[in-house]
Amino acid sequence: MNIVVLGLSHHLSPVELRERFAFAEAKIPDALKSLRESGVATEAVILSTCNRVEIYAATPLTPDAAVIELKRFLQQWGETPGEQAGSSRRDDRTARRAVPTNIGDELYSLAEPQSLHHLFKVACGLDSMVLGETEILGQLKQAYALAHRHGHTGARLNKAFQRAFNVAKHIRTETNIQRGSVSVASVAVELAEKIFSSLNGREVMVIGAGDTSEKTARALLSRGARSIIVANRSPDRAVALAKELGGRAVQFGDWAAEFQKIDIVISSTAAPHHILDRARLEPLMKLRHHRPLLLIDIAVPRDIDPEVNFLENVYLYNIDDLQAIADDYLRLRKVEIERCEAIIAEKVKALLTAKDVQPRMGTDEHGQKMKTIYPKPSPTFGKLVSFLVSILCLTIMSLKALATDLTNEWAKANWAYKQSDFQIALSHYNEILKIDSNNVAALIGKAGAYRGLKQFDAAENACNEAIRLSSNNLSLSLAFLYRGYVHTQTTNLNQAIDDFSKAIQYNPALADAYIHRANAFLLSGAYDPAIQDCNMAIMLLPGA
Amino acid sequence: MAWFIDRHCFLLAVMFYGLSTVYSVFLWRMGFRKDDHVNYFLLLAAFALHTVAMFKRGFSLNQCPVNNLYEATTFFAWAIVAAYLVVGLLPRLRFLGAFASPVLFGIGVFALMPALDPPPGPKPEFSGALTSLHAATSLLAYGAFGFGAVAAGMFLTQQHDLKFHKLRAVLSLLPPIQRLETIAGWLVLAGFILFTIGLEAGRYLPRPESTGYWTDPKVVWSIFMWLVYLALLVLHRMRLPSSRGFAIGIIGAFVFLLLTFWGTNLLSPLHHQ
Repeated sequence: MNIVVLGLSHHLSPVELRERFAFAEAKIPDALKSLRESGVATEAVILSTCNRVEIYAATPLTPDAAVIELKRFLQQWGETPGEQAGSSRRDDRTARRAVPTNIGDELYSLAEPQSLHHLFKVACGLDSMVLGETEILGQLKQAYALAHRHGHTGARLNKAFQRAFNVAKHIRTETNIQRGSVSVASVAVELAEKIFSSLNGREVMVIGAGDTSEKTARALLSRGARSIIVANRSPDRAVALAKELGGRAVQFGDWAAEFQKIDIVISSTAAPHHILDRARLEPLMKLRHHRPLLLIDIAVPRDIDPEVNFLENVYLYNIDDLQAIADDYLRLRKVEIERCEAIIAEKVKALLTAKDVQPRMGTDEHGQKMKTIYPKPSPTFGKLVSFLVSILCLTIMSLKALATDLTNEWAKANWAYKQSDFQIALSHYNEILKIDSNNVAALIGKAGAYRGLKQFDAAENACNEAIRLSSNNLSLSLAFLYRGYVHTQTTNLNQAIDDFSKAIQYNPALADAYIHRANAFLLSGAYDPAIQDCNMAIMLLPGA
Repeated sequence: MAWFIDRHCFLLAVMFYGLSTVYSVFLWRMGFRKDDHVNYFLLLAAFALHTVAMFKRGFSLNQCPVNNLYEATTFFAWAIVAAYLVVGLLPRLRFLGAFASPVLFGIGVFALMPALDPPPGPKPEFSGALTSLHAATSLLAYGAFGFGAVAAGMFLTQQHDLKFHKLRAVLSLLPPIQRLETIAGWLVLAGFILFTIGLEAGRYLPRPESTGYWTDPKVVWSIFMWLVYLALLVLHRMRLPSSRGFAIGIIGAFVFLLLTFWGTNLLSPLHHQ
C-alpha cells in the first residue's frame, strides 16, 4: 500500500485554477466516499485551502495508475456544478458553465517516500506562501480530523498524519522557522509587546487611513488593546473605520487633544510634511507623565519627525524599520530551511523504517516532483499497454475539456490575453464582472488588458478597485504588483517602487515584485537597492 | 578549622558564579534569543554552596554570620542570588541571571580577600538578636538594591535596543521594558523598607559611651543612602525623571553603595571591631 499525493498549489497554479478544484468543506466527506468507492484509494484525506488543493491517498494500485485515477477524479469533481468551494455564490447557470481549464503542468504528484516528505513539509509550513506560517498546520489537522471522523482514514494515513503533526511540533520548538512575524502589522504588535507589559487596556490612535494601518490596528485589538480612536481628514472615512474597529472618530485637527490617554499611535496620512515633530511632542509627553509611547509611522513621506525617537520613553518605527524586521525574520526562516529539511528527512526515514515499508518508487532522496501527465514508459509489456491506454484517455479528456473550455468566460479571457487580443480579453473580463462584480482576479485581468491597450488610466483604476475589494494578502499583493507595472510604464517610478514595496509587504515571496522593483530602482539610478532586489529575486527563484 | 572549610565552600560558589558569568556572555552574544535553564542551574548550584558556607560559619560562631566584612559581603551576595532564584522561576525573567552573575562574581572575588576575614575574636557584649536583625535586614536591603540595579541594567539594554537596534530587541526574549521598570521599582522599594528597619534596629543597639551615634561615618553614610533611595522612589512616583533616568539612578546609587560600603565600614568605630 503506497501513500500518494496529487494536488495544485500556489507554486505552480494561479488562483483562478485552484478555485476551480477547491473542495467545499461540506462536500469533502462525499468526495472521500466517492474516491474510496472507486477503488483507487483505501484511505484518503483531502486538504483544500486558499493556496492548495491536495489529495492524500493510501492506494493498492501502482503509484502511476493511482495518480491517473486521482487526476481523473479531480477533473470530474471540478466539472460537476456546485461542487467547488464558494460555488454557492454563483448562480446555477454559471455553475454549469464553470468547467475547469485543462490542467497540465500545474498538477503535481508524488509517491513514497516523496509524498511523506511533502506531507511533513506542508505541515511545517515549509511549502507555504509565507514560509513557516502556522495556519496550514491547523488546516491540515482539520482536514485529517474530517476524514477520520467519517471513517476514511486507516492505519497508513493515521500514522503518517500523526507523525506529520509531531514533526511540525518538533520543528517549531527546535528551529526558528516559525519564529517572528513576516507582516508589517504583526511586527508592530511584537514591538508593542516588547514595550508594554501587556496590551490589555492600551489605547490606540489611528491617524489617517490605509490598509496597513487598519491591519495593524486590528492586530493590536486582537491582542487586547482597549479602544481605537480614528482621526482622518475625511470624516466619513474616519467614522467608517472607527465603526469597523469598534472605536470612535475624532476631527483630524483634534487628534493632539486625545494624546494624553494614548499609548500607541499608527500614522498613515498623505500629508507632505511632518504632522508630529519633537517640538510638538515634548509638551504632550509631559501631559502623559512620560508614560511609554509607541509611534508607528507607515506613511511615505513620513508623518513623524525621526528626531522624536530621541525623546525619553518614545519609540518610533517607520515602515522601513518594520519591513526590515519582517524581512529579517523571513531571512532567518530561510536559513532554517536546510535544518528543517534534514529533520524531515530523518523523520521520514524513521517512519518508513518503523513501518518496514520500502518505497515503491525510486529512492530519490532529493524528492523531485514528477509530472505524471505522461507516465514514464516501462520495459514490461503490461506497463507499456497501460501507458498507451492512459495516453489515449488523456488525449480524449483533453480534447473534451478543450471543447467545453471554449464556452467558459475565464478560458476565453485567458486565451485572448495570451494571444494579445486585449480588447476581446477585456470584454470577457467584463462579462465575468457582470456575474460577480467583486471578482478581484477579473479586475486584475482587466488591468492587464488595459495595459496591453495602453490605456493606463483605466488600468490604474482597475487596480485601485482590485485593491479596494481585496480580502486577502495574495490578491492585494497582485493588485499592487499590477499597479506597479502601470506606474512603471507611465514612468512614475517613485509610485511604482511604492506599489512594488506594498506587493512585497503583502507577499514577501513574490519574486516578480522584487524583479520589477529592481527595474524601477535601476531606471531611477538607485543601483544598490536594485542589486539587493535582484539578489532577493534570485533567492526566491533560483532560475530568475 | 571550621571557618576554613566554609571559605572553601564559598570559593566553590564563586567559581560557579564565574562559570555563570562566562555563560552569560554567551547568552548576551546570542541576543537573549533562547530561553535557557543552564544559567539558572549554575546559580542554583552556587547558591546551594553559598548557603552551606554561611550556615557553617553561622553554626561555628553560634550567631548570624555578619560580624566582619567578609561575612557581610557574602550575606549581601547571598541576598542577591536568593532574590534572583525566586524571580527567575518565571521564564521571561530568567535572563536577569545573566545580568546578576557578573555582579555576584565580582562581589565574591572581593569577599575572598583574606584581609576582610580576620579570625573571630571574643564575642562582643552587645551581640544578640537585635544585632542580627540590624545586620541581616541591612544586608538584605543591599541585596534588593543590587538586584534592582540588575533589573535596571536589563531595562537600559532592552531600551537601547528598542530605540536603535530594532531587530535585536524584537528577537530577544527579554521581558517588556515596562515590566522591567516595575520590577526594578519594587525591588528598590523592598530594599528601602528593609533598610529602614535595619537602620531603626541599629539605633537601639548598645554602644560604647565614647562613641557618637550621629557622627559615626557609617551612620552618616547610611542616612545619606537612605535619602538617596527615598528621593529616587518619590521622584519616580511623581514621574519626574524618565524611566531611563530612574534606571540610571538605581544603578548609580548601587555603584556608589558598592564603592563606599567597605570603606565607611572600616572608618566606623561602631562597626569596625
